[in-house]
Amino acid sequence: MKDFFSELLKDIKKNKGAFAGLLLILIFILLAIFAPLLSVYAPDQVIEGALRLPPNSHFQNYYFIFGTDDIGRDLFTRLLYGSRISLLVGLSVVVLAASLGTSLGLISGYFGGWTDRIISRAMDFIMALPSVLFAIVIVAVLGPGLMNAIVAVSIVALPNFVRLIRAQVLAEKNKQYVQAAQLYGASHLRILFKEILPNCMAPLIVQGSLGFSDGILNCAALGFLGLGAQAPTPEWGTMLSDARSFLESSPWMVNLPGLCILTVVLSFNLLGDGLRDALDPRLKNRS
Amino acid sequence: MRLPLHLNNKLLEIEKLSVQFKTDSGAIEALRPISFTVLEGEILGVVGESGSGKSVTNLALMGLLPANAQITAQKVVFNKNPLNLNSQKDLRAIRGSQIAMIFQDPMTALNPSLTVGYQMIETLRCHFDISKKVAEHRSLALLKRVGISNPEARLKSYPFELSGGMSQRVMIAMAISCHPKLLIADEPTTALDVTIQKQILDLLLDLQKENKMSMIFVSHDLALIKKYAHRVQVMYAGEIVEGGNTEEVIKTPRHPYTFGLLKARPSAHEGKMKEPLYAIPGVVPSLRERPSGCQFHPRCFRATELCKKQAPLLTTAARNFACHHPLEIL
Amino acid sequence: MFLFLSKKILEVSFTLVGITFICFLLLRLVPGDPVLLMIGERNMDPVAYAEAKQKLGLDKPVLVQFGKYIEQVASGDLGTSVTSKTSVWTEFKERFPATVELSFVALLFATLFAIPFGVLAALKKNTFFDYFLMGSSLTGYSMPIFWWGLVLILLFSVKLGWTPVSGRIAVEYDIPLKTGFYLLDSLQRDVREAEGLKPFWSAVSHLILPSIVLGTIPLAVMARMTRSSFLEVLGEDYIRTARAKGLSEYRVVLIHSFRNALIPIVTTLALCFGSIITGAILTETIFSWPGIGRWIVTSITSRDYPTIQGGVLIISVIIIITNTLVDLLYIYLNPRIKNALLK
Repeated sequence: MKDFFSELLKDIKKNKGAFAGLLLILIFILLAIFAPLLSVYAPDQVIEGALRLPPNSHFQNYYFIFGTDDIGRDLFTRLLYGSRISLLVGLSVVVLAASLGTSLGLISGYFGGWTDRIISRAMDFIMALPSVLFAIVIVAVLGPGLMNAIVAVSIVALPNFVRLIRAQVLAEKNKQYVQAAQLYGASHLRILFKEILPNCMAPLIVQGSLGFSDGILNCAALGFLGLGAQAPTPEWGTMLSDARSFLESSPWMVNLPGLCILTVVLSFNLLGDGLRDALDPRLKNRS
Repeated sequence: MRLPLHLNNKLLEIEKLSVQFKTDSGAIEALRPISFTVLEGEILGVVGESGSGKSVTNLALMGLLPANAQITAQKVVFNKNPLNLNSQKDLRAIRGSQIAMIFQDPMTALNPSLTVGYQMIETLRCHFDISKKVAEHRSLALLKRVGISNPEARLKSYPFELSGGMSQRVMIAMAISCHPKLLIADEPTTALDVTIQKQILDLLLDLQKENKMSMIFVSHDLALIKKYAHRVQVMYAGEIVEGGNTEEVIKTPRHPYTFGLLKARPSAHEGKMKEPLYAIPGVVPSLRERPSGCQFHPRCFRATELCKKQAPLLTTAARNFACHHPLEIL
Repeated sequence: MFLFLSKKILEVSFTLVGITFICFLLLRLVPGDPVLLMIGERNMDPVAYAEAKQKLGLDKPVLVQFGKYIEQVASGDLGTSVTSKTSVWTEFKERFPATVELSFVALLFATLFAIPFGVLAALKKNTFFDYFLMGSSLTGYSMPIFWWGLVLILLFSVKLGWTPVSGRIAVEYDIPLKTGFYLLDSLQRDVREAEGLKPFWSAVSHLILPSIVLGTIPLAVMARMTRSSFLEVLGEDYIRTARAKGLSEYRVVLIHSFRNALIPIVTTLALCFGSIITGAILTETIFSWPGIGRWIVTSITSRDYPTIQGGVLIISVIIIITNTLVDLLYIYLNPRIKNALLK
C-alpha cells in the first residue's frame, strides 16, 4: 500500500497539471485550517460604515485586502472561512457517497441476482434525473440548508461509485485469487474487504477526486439557487447569490467567490485527470 | 525459387536507414543503420522474430511511423529517383500508386463503417482521374481477379460481413489496383487459417508475375519464405544479420541465428517425433537495454569474448552475414 | 430488431413507472399536511378541508392512491399550481419552447466549436495548442456557470453594452406566438411586414449570452471526448491502411476517422441533452429566461408542490425518452450493430 502511494506521487509529479492541482488543494487546505490565524476579523464581524469597499482599501484604521460586502464584513475573511465549508462539503459528499456507494457496489456485484437487480435499477432512476434537478427534489422534501444540500448531492453522486465498484467486483470475482480464498473457506465479508476491495482502490481514488469537485460545484449551485447554505453562512455559492444585486457597482463581491469556486473545482479536476492517467494501465501503456 | 536472370535492375536502394523512437524514458533504437536493395521483379523475403525491425523498415518506407519516430537515411533511391523518407509530400506521391502495402490483420485493416466498394473506388479515384462509374467497373474486375465470388454484392458489403480470407483478398485487390511497382506484404497470412494461407500466397505470386512488380514479403515462417521468395534477408534486433539467395541461405546458413530459426521449424522436425521441438534459448533483447557487441551473443551457442565486446560487420558480398564465428559451409 | 425494441420499451416503461412513483411519493414525504400542500394554505375551513381530502383521495390506502395518480397522469392531468391556480401542464407548455430554443442554440454552439477544437487537439497532440485547448476545456468543465453568466453580463452587457441582460426579446416587440420559438415566430410574415427583421435580431441578441453560458460545459465535455475519440480512431489499423493507400490527410481525417469517431461524440452530445436541464435551471435563473428551469426554481421558493411534482415528472419523462432515442441513434450510426439487429 505504501509503495502504491509513493508510486502514485511519482506519477503525479510527472504530470504538471495534476501536480499544480495537488499543490492548489494543499494551499486551500492550509488556508482553511489556519483561517483564524490568517485573518484578524471574524467571518460575521460587521465593521460599521465599511460598506462595499473595493479590494485593497483602508477604512479608519482597518485594512481590507479583498474589500468588504454590502453590510461591512471583510470579504477575505469570509472567503477564507468559505474554503472550510467548501472543502468540508466536498469531503462529506465523497465520504458519504463513496462509503455507501462502495458497500452497495460490493454487495450488488458480489452477490448478483435480485439484490443486484434492485440496486442497479435504483441507480438507473437516480441517473435518469439530471443531478441538480434531483438535488432540488430532495431539498424540496428535506427543506433548504447546507446539511440537506450535502445529503442531496451525495445521493446524486452515489450511482457513479456503485457502478464503478460493481464493475470492478464483477471483474475481480472470477479471478483465481478470489476463488482460492473461497476454497479456503474465507467468509464473504473477508473476501469482499480483504481481497476484492484493495483491488478497487485505484478507480475509487480517481472517482473520489472527481466526486470532490462535483460535490463542491453542485453544493455551490444549490447555494446560489437559495437551496443550500443559508444567508449568514460564508458559503461561496450563497455569497455569490447574495451579491448578485451589486454586480454592477461592486463586481468583486461576485467575482471573488466565483473565482474561488472555479479554482478549487479545477484543482480537483486536474488532480482527478492526472490520477486517472497514472492509474489507468490502459492509458499508461499507450502514451 | 530462382530469380530470372534478366531482372536485376535495382528498384529500391536503401543505404544506412535507421529509426529511433523518442519516448519519455529515452530514445529507443528500433532500427540500426541497415542497407539493402530490392531488384525489379523479385520477391524479397524478410524473416525475423517480432521486434526485429521488419515492420519498422516497411512502415518507414511508407511514411507510416508514429510522430515520435526519427528516421535517418544516407540514401534512398526508388525507381531511379531519390526519396526523402522524412517528407510526407514525397511519400504521399508514391504511396498507394507506386508502393502499396497489405497488412497482417485484414479484419481491422478495412474501415468498418465504409463499404468495400467505397473504399476501393476511393483508392482508384485518388490516383487516377476517372469517373465513379469507371472506378466501380474496375473495382468489379479487380474483385473478380482476386477470386471473390459475386463481386457485385461484395461491393455493397461492409467489411464485418466478410471473412478474414475475403478481407485480405479485398486488401490485395485494393493494393494492386493502381499497378504499384513494389508491393509490401507484411505477414499477409499470419492472421488467417492455414488452408486460406496457401490460396492467398499463390494469388499474390500470380499477381506479382502478372504485373511484373517487386514484392517485399515479410514473414516469420521460413517454410513460406523458402517457397515464395527469391532472396531472403534475416533480421534480428533492428539489424540485418544474414542475406542472400533463398536456397543458399536455407541450405547453408552462416549466422547461428538463421541456423536456429531453421532448426526451430516444425518441418525440420519431421520424422524425429520423439525429440522435443528445438527452440532458440532466451528471448529477443529489449530495445531499451541492448546487449553489448553482437546483439545475438547472449543466446548464441558459438559466442566468445569477442562477440561480447565487438559487434560484427555485415559482409559486403551478395551472400552476406554478420558474425564473428560463422557456421562453415558443409 | 423487434425483440430488441420490445426489450427497450419494457426497460423504459419500468423506469417511467419508477420515476412516477418517486414523484408521487414527493408530496407525501414533504413535511407538513399534503392536503394543505396541494390546495394551498389560505382560506381553509374544516369542511372544505375534508372535501379536498376526499377529492384528492388521501383517505385511501397508498397503493390505491398511486394507482389513481397514474390514472390521473395518463389522462394528462398533472395537478394544479397552488400559486397561479392554472394547470401544471398549461404552465409547462407555455415555458417549454423557451427552454428548447435555448438548449438547442446552446448545444449547436457547443457542437460547432467542440468538434473542430477536439479534432485539432488530437491532430496536434502534445503540442502547445493541444495543451491550451485541453486546459481551457478543463477550466470550462470546472466552471461554476452561475458565476460565468454573471461575468459575461458584467463584461458584455454592463461594460460594453453589446447584449441585453435578461429576457427573450426586447419589450417593445409583441409578436404573436405560433411555435413558441422566438427565432421562428419573429420571422412570421406579418411581423416582418410590420417591423422588419428587428424583432428577429432582438431575439438573437437575447440568446447569445445564455447560449454561451449553457453551452460551456457541453462544449468542454465534447471537446475532450472528440479529442480522445479521435486519438483512438487515428491509432486504428484502417487509418494506417487509408494512409498507405495514398489518400490525402483531409480524406483520412474527414472520411475515414470522422465517422468512426463520431459514435462516442454523438453519445456524449446526447448525454449533454439529458444533463442540459441542470445548466438550464441555473442559466434561466441568471438571465430571467422564462423557461422550465426557472419555473421549477420559482415553484420551489414559493413552495408550490403540485408544480414541483408535475414539473419534475414531465422533465424526467422527456429526458428518459431522449436518452432512449439516443440509444437508437447510436445503433443507426453503427452498421455492425444495425445489421446484427436486422437479422
